[in-house]
Amino acid sequence: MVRKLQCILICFGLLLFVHKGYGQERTIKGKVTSAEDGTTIPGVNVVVKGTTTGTVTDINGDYTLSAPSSGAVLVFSFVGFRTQEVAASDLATVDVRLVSDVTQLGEVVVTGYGQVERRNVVSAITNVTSDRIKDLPATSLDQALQGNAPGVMVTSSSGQPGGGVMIRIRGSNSINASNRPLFIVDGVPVANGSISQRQFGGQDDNILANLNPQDIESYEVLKDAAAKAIYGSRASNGVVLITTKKGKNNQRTRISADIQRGVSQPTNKLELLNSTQLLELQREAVTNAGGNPNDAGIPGVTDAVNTDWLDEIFRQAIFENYQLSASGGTDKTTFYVSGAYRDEEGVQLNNRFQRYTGTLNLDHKATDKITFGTNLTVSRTENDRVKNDNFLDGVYSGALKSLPYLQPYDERGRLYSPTNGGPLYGGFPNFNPVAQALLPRFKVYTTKAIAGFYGQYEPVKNLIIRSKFNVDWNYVKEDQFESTQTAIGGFLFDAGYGLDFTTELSTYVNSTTISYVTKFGDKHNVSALLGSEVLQTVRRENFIEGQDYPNDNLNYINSAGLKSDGGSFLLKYGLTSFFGELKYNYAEKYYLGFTARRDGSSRFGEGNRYGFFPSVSAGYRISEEAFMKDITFVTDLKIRASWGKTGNDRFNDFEFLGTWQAAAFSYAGSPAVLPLNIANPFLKWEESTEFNVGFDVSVWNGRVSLAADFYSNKTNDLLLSERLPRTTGFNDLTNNVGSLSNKGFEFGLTTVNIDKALKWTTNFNISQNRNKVETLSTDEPQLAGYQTNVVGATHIITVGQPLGSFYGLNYLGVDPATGDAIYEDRDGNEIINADDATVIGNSQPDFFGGITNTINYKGFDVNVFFQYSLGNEIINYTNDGLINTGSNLVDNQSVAALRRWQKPGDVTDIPRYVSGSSANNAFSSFYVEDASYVRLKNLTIGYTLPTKWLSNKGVRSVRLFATGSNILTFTRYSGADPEVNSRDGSTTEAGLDYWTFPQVKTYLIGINIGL
Amino acid sequence: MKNKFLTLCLAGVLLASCEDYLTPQPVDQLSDQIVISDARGARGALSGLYREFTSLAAANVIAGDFMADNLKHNGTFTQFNELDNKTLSSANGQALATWDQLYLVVYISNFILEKVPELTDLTTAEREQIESQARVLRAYAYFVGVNCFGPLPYTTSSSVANNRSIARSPVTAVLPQIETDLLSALDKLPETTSEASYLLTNGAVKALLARFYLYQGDFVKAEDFANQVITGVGTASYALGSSYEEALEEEGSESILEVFYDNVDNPSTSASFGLWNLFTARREIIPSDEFVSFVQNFGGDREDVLIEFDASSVGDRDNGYTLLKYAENGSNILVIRLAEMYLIRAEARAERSNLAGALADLNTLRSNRGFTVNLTISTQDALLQAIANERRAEFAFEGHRWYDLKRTGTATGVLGSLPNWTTTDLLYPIPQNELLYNPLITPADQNPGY
Repeated sequence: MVRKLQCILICFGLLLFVHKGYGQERTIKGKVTSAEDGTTIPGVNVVVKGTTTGTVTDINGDYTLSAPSSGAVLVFSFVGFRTQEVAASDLATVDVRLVSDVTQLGEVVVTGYGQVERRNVVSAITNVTSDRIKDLPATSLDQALQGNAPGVMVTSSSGQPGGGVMIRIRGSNSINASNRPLFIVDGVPVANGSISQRQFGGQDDNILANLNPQDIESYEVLKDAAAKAIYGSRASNGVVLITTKKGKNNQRTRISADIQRGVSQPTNKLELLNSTQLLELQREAVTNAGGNPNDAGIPGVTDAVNTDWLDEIFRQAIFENYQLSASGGTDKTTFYVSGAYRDEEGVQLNNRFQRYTGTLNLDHKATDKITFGTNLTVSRTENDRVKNDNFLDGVYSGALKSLPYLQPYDERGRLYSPTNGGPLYGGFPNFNPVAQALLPRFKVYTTKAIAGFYGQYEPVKNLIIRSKFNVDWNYVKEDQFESTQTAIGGFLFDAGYGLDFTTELSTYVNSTTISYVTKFGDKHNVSALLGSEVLQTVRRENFIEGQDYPNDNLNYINSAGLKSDGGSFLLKYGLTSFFGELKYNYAEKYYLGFTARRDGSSRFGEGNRYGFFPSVSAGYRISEEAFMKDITFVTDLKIRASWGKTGNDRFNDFEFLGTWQAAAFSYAGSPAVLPLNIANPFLKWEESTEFNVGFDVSVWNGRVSLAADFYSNKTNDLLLSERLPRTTGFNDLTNNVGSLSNKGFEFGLTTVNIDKALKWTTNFNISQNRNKVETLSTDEPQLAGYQTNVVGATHIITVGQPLGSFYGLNYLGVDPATGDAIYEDRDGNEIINADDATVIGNSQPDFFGGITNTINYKGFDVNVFFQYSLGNEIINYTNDGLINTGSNLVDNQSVAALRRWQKPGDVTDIPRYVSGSSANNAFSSFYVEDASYVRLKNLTIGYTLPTKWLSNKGVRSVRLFATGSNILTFTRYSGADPEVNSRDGSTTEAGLDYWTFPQVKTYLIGINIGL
Repeated sequence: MKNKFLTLCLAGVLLASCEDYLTPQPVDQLSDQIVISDARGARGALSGLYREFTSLAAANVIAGDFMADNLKHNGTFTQFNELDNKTLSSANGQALATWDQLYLVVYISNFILEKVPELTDLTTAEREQIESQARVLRAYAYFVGVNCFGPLPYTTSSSVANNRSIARSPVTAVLPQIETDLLSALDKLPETTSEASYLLTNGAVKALLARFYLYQGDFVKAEDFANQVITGVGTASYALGSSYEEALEEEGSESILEVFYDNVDNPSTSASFGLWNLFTARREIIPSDEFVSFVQNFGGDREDVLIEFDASSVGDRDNGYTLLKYAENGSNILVIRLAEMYLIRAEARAERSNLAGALADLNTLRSNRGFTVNLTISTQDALLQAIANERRAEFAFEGHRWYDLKRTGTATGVLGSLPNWTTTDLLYPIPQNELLYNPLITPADQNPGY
């Protein structure tokens, strides 16, 4: 193909050459390159201004054309670059460097099942391009969105690589159904959240960590109903469209190599008591309880052994990332291919995440009318997980709790363990956390493949029929073994314990669309799309459990003396849909759009199976009005509004059916079935009604542009369990009762502050979302989260409050006379109990967003990215253990305990310690803290080598850079890190720090080489 | 080419209308429509019914003994503390567990009775057997229910719409329904089963009828049915164990109906704590001081089978005694055994002034319980009292005492001296849930005293 093209060009050149002999003209030659990276650009139109004489550049960017003997002006134009005019005077060679036109490039925005020019968008869509995330060491593609998109709140649940991420677009729209957005990669809806079967103390892993963010060209976050209602029943939580990198037509193959290496460490290390301080405290606690410390077995005060357990489990972790990619294309075929390896050690011993990914995107135009292509990504991850949070033998939690006067290793250097339990071994409940990190084997192997194949037929111009088949296939293998040296294998069980889980989750989708774009007269622009889709998700699981291993070295279940449990399971889900879209605009001034989708879901019974989700949007470009012509500083001004309905069916399958299941035990040898779920044939979709108004304004030739949105969403028919009297034989029934609302605004501001040799741009975004529970099935508040002392539970779902509200007593301080905690006696009955509890905070931020400053000067680039969350609160429930006021003496304490009340008259905020007493640590506002934070999420300094150094070495570009992520965190939160969630992904139980591992800071250096 | 591609696209469009994708079936659940679609399905549901019946039998033991004076709380659970102190609230977990279990049995029974008539692969006799078992277990559940709670919401439907809004029916309305269910099963069930006494037999139906009529004071019918069981129901013949230990043997000669447990599946009165756990493993519940004294002074061979002393566990509240019934993880619960038939016949005969016959039955039993000398009693009252005492000893920890005291009108006299005891302790509270979620049971409908 290339050869053919060359032939044509040569022939064309010869013709021109021949032509020369006939006129008073001369030949001008030259090379067209990109000002950005110095690569040659083939296919550039070169025309002599005011004539029809012209040519295009060849594969090497060279052109030759004949021009009048003097005074010619050459016009160079090419898609994606600013058109440039050059006076040729009497030069024989005119080399041109074309400058890319960012605004023009950004003009196409991917929408559901199509794309639209940026200036014609009348819905709330946020576009995040690859250059915003290219230097972030984010593991997963959802993490990379943090702080970069208004309205999108991203919280990593902990600092463990490959761990869970909570992402919310315009708040949480559901209580029991999923609140996660729909992620679509190149048209393939992909699994998100955790699909493995094991979670540890609330922490999950994240399947999106299997995809390589560096393969992404752009994100489109669909936020309002007009943008997302075409995804109907899966759209209520927003949609994230991800477009991976593609090759460009007529582009010489570009090869890019990336190498990044760095180190990670925790953002923060909690300060704990040393041996002397703790022993003094423990002796005091026993004395306060009326006991004798010596009788209670408390060692005498000594710092003979003083272990810093956090230092024992932390390490400087190595981060490595390597990627090789190539892209390019002819006039008919484009491709992008990449391979990458990432190795991210956790800062806890033995915690490691490795990822291998490969991607191939290929598009081919077979004829003028037929195009087909494929996108294919295969990835494999190996995650060495460690247990944490609310897990008995967690590593970080164990290191916080373990007593400093104990040790990890005995005098012979062997780990203390249940079988080597010397006097310095903690045993229950603080098993040696170093052993708990090093000894258990817990590996998760995840293989993921995304494959899409499409064919497209264009029988007449602008009528496109397109059909695409997609597969998202995930295969997770979890391999756990706990030897007799571990808490589980040696303490809970006597002779080892093993588990093996296999999960296969696959989604198959076929979508077929017919679209047509046309223009009536001069100004009536119409586009229409009709489509259908069939989706099926199949989940297969099995597992086996083994005990009684003869030897710690025989550690697969083949060797287990007892295969103690096992099971297998299959679940299918189906969704069939029709959808359509009609858009009209009058001269790009007045806009009107409609979308509609009808979804049928297997999660509902006959009669309620289908849902209809319409939307309507309108836009008005004021800047096109005559009266605006004089206001020249306004480049563009558009207002827009949308209304629509979306749905949510992402909750348990078969809830509408009355069902029975096999009893765990038979009766007298006969297998039995027992009632499981009560039928509710009326069950239907959760439905959100969404309203959005916004405007886009751009002034001073785009130097300042602002996108603002205001929205008000209400979700009705929430699927909640409705309590039943037991005369029905059941406890509850899932029913569509309850509603909640989300209202908020989003501003995204981009300014080009300096646009000279030094270019400085700022991206700022701020969002607010107010979430409120409007109605519930009963007046009784519903408690959630962890059980707590006195009050019941950490969280509450109650009408009038947002999800993620905390519930407890009001802590009024310490009585200076007695040293006891004072709690507000709200009902005034002089008894402090659960009746005195109230809402004491909530986890939802008032404002969140980010600010990025980018400075380019000559070859240097600097990127400074702050991310922030303001007004959110956290339950520092770790302090329930670390400031336990003596309720047990088996855990180490925070240095805050040094402030404890010790004698009458002491004025302090920490009550006295009384051994065995929980009276002073009722669950209260004592644990609730403001966790607002501003974080220097990313600081990158890069240098791109001048092309002249490289051009003769066959190298297109070289960039060196150094990046630091999470370098600085400004917060008043006293816990380890303000960005944590011990209940991964949960909204109703959000904002809980319970022995949660802090985020990590990473410093890395990288090099990018382009060939 | 063009046509092929269009066809392919069209196929894609048509696929979307395919309903198959929207009607997947769960692999580990059976829908109400198909769970009882054949004989095998019906038997699976029937086994499920027995499974729930086992838990109801356990709840019945706690009610029958702890609401009276046989047991004492020695642990930490609030619900048992309340039972011991006779300070039950409507949130009492044990009352709730009993109520839950009773309506679970009712739901499954009703469900089976609605579905089984539609089955075509059952003979008439097989269908009648399944239906009869469902009716008898439903009757048993309601019988426990009226004895514990008094007036009850009565339903023979599995419809949620119906059962979520249902008023309490007077005891006098529920009892005839129980009687009808039991009588309808008479002579429909086999005399013996391949599964020992774990499944209902004709003998068990008769024994339950004897108990039912005794409670209603219909001594003619009580004596008649007890007599039928004692003399043998067809090929089934029951025999008194020659000692108390032998009488309590699982699958023993006395056993008429017992619920099956094994060590994987211990007796449960609630989700996680079964009788073995409560009585033996945790010693959450121990024999009351008064009961210990009663059985120690009673004579015969029962004391060593019922209780055991360990001085090392004596403590503040702990009298050091451990209850020996359900002493193994997986012990069965004996629901009805032959000794009860002897004592029912004795009581009925005594009530009908057949003192000699009554005394003969009493002495027959006692001679198998380590007593070597026959009792000689000449007055009706004294004889009835002797029978009552014999019942207390014989059926200790089998869930009889509270009901016996109530039906004989002696509860106030016997239990009145217990701290906090009032006549409102003759009934369990209706669980709080029901007041909240059933619109036809309001706080005004709560049993007095709660």
